[in-house]
Amino acid sequence: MARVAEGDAAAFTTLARGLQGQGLRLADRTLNDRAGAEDVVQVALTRLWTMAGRFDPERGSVEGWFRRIVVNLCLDRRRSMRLVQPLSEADDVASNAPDPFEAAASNDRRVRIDTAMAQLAPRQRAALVMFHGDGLSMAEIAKAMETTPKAIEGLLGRARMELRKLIDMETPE
Amino acid sequence: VTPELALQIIESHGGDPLRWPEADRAALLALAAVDAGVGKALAEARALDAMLCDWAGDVAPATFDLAAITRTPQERAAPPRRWMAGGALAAAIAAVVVMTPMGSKVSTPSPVPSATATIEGSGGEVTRSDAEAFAEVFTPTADEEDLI
Repeated sequence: MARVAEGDAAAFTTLARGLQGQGLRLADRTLNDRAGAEDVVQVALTRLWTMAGRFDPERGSVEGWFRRIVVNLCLDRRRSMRLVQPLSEADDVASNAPDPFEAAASNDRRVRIDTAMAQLAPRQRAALVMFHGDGLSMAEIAKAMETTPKAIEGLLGRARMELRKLIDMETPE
Repeated sequence: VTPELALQIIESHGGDPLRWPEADRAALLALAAVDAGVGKALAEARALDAMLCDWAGDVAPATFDLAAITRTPQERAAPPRRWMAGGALAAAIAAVVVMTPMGSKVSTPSPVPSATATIEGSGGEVTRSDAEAFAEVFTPTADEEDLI
């Protein structure tokens, strides 16, 4: 990161390639919008480059700093947008699973969770993807979301409770 | 670990014991084995965890224009904290505005000394000395001299 702050483009490229995947997943799941997520990651990477001199290793890792930039950009973006109920795109994804019954079940499960996720708040989705996708601890998520671990526990608990209700409600009889 | 606490931990941390607080892990597992409610919540949490892991899985990669980013000029140093200079100036102006009427009130001799003047003088919060404040209170004004 010190080399990036000194303007080393090769060091930045290496660092960016290591971070962009997790950033894209976080943004995509938080926003529920692929194109928006790509925009967010491009802006976050730009900030990583232009503001590299501000990075303070005593305050945490580069990954943590980048994650915080992505989360803030996602939440700012959602605040400035009119909320739209996104339609699940899972129906349109062709499955390459060998067993059609298994594929159908998997697709149904995907549709149910995507539909339920669309009804959660972006903050809840951000916490869920960091906890279940990245395996972060409550403290690490709290740092990325600029809050306390206790608040994250509450946020995740409420998110999971809402999800369960939404998924149960939509379970076909 | 009470059943209430166990349910709370399962609700927020999910069904994987490795994600639970270490201090509560063994007790929570033991409780789940004997308490039907906790056991059921644990099974449900594990089912939800599986769905969430699928949902939070990898996304298709994208290509970002890193070359364009590196052509962007970097911030060379910490940005000048202009707001601090502006804030200091605003504070100075505010102080002058606040102090001006207070100062004129103090320096203008009142025909009838007020209790406020006495309090301010004795408190030592204004620039007058205690002697000046005392003199203002106990020295008769011209009107008072006439009366005497």
